[in-house]
Amino acid sequence: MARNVSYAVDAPGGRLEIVKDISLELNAGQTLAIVGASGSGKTTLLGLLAGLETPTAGDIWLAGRNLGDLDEDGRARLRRARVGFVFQSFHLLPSLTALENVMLALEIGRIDQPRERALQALRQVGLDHRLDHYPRQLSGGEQQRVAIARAFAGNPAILFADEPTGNLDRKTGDAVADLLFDLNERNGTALVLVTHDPRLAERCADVATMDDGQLRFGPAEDAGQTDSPAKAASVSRT
Amino acid sequence: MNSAALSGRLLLRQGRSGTLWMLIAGLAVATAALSAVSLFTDRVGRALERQAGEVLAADVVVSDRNPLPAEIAARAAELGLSTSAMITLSTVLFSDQTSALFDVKAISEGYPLRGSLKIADALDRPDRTTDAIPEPGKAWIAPSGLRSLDISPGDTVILGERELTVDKLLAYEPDQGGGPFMLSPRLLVNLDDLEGSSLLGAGSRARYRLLAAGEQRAVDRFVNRTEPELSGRQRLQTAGEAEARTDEALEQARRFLAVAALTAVILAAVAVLLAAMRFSRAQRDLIAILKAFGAESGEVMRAIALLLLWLVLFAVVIGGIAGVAGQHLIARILSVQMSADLPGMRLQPLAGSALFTLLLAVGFALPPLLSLKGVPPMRILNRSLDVPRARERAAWLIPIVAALAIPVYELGDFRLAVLMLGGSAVLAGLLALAAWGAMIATRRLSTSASGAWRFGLAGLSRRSGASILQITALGLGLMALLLLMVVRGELIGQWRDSLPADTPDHFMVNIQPDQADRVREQLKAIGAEQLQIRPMANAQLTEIIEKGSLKGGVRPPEDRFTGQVNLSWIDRIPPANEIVEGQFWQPGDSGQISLARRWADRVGVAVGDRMTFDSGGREFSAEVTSIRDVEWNSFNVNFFLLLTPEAGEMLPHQFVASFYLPPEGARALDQLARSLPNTSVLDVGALIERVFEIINQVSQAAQVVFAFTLIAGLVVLLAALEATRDQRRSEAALIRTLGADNATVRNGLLIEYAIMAGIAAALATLGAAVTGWIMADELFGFDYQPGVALFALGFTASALLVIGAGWLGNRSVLSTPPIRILRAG
Repeated sequence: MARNVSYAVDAPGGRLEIVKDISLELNAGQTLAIVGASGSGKTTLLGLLAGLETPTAGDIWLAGRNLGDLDEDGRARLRRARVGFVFQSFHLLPSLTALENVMLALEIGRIDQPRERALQALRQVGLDHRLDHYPRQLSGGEQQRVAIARAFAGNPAILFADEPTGNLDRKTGDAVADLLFDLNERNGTALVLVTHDPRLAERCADVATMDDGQLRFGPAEDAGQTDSPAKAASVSRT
Repeated sequence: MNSAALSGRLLLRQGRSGTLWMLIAGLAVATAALSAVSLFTDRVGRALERQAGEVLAADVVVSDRNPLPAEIAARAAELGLSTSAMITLSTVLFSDQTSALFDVKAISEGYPLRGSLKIADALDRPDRTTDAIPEPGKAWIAPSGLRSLDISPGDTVILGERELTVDKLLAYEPDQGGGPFMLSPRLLVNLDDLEGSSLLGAGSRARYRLLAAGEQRAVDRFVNRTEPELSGRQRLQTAGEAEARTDEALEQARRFLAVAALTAVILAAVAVLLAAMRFSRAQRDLIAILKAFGAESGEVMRAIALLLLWLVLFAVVIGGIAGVAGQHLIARILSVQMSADLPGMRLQPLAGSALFTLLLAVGFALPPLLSLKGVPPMRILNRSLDVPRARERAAWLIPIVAALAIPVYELGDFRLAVLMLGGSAVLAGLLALAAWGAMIATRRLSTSASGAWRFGLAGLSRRSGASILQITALGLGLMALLLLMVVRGELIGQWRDSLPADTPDHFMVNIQPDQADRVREQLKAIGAEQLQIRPMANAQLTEIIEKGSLKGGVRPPEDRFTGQVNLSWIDRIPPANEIVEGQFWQPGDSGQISLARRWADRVGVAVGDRMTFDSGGREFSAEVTSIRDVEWNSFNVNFFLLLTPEAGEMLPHQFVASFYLPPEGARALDQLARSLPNTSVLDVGALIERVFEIINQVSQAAQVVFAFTLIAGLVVLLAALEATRDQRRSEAALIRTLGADNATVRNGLLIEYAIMAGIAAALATLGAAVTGWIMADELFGFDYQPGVALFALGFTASALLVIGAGWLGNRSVLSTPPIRILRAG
């Protein structure tokens, strides 16, 4: 849950407000897409919600804890127990194999039997034949599937995805999206994704648009969508 | 995941990255240079320690150029000390085949009072300790002496008027003296033999010693009573003082090698810093991911510290092995010259080198790595948010402090450390400035170039910071080696050539007045040229009366230059002397004295002062009327103090001859010297050869240490290339994508390296030549002309070396498919 969250940085021309007074709430198993133009503050908001950055004003609660009460290490501990990530550029470690990449996240989260769980996660994304491949030996779609396996292997309460299909062609992107929503449904994980892709946004239960640091509930106008009061109700202004 | 597992994973998985290897290489080179020096000096130190307590072969020694008064020995006996007499003398010995200069030590019963002699019956027989001394008529010889005289045990040698049988080999004597290097081999004889050799006439170069040993209280009493009575050039030395001097000599040798090693360490530190910066940059994404997945900062930092520790351990092992090899090489090169066997190597000093390497790592690699602590997890979403914080910038103070602290720690001398750092900084600054100038010139050229040339030249100026650093580091390493390998040889060669062909190369000393005319004729007869025969006497300088003063200006002589002094007399100014103050006397003048400037400055005597001397109870005085500059390089017989000729009538004296002898006269001189057994011939030419031989060996040993400097320079080059590799790879990929063939890229890179190598080699060659010129001018007083060898060998070898290293560092630029690089962004 976010309440009156703002984020500003000092820039050469003065103070720059990237996120302006945003409030929202997301419950278990819910899916939310954040859309908007480049530079509108979507990714910054995602980082704030995930506890990667602290807001300059307002409060964020994640899994019942106020992030403002935690220091960086406290937020790290919270993330490793409850949060998963999928990124546009995959962010796999090039020096680790697919299996090791998944295991690393589990090991950081101090989850038992990391190897078994990593194997299971890679099986779920259909990559059990690519366990010992390094990222450079995998296609873009395969790399993103490894990243998804890594994100879900720890069974997080909430998953943040930043342009998960942005680097993939349409067909591969669709396959990856299918996987993401399938796992989301199976594991009951809440999903927040930032995307430019209206088709991907549409698959989420709720859509919100970032515009100049402000969040408007409902899809972006330029994507040909209209506000949906039913969806907006589940992600409510508080 | 715990820190140990994370550091292990980082190490194993990043092991293939060149950056980690650069870090290891930098640390290993520093370890190698330091351990080579510390392992070797440890061996020398223990060799000296083995002799501790016996460096004088006594508890106290009194010595003089003249026989010591009998009262001193009597007092020692009275106090219950055991005593022994000794005379040492540098003189030429003859065998049936040849002659050679020896350090003769004549000893009496009881020697050594502390420690023991070791002797052997033949070269292939084991050493044994003995309490005996050579019997009259017998001599013990150092093994190197057998070679010098071309003899075997059992043969005879001629010492003045005595013929002695060499019956034992001298393996060890406690009071070896002369430091680790001896100019001439030792001959140990009975005191009676030297006294009967006629070599101890007035003015001989012998040194008389009284050795005493016993209870500490008696020794102290002896010292307290004897010291105030010492006069002239008499000296008293206790075992403690002698050990302190030995320790000081060892410390100086250690510092000399440590300075050489430090040049390698400073360059290695630069390499470590560059590699750590690149490694740190490359790890920022990883750290951001780890943090995003929930790793705590403390864990990450512990993992990085552990990683560094692993690297240090690895580097210490590799560097330690190289250091052991280096010290073996140094010991092997110097073993020919060392007067004592070195004890075996022990590994303890490696602990010190390891600690030092850790300090180097903490100082230069930790700050860039510590900056990883501040990587925000948000970086994975937006790299622009990853800006260094002020606290991280402050971490850069650590390398600065380390750079200052390391030389102080290693040299144990703040002033020397500052000089060394300042000197290196000035030299590096000059090289960097020259490199910067060369880069500007290159940039201008690149505008009119095309194809591979444009690519190569542009690459060089685009990375001008890195290029200047590489040129400076390599230039320093190459310059050190060129100085030692080429310039040193050329300097010695050219100095020899600068002496006229007929420069006197022999001295004959101890010629009695009644032999002088005969010697002159016979030397001329055997072909001696530039012959000068000059009288020489000893007198006691008792008083200096300053010009125009009455009682207040009278002072006794103060330092070791005064007291018992050598004098000569002449009626006109001798060759190779130039009057710088006052006027030299005319034939017929009397009561005057002329001083060499060096002596006059040291003692503080000026024109117009009067000096009073005592010779065998006869007192006389003379007025200082001139000060001379003496060209000591001329190898003529020269004296600090010259008197007007009437002095000859007052002083018991002998003559010294200096002359040049063409090689074909050697045998005739040998025969002449045999017929004048009381005289000694010094072959200065051979002595100079011996000195050069020692200089050669010592500089070869230093080369081993400076080779580490060059390796460190290469590591800097590779580390800098590694740091710019990503940039080079994407540039190469881009121009290959645009249609450039492999040859264009390869030639471009080669041009870039070749120019960089060329500038570094040119600066190193120029720097070595200028240093050589300054040394020649300051030390030897001649103009050094750099030889073709310096330019040809130095330039070609260094350029090839650098191009090779550069090429090696960038193979992956060509071997990586462009698509992979472009895809990786």
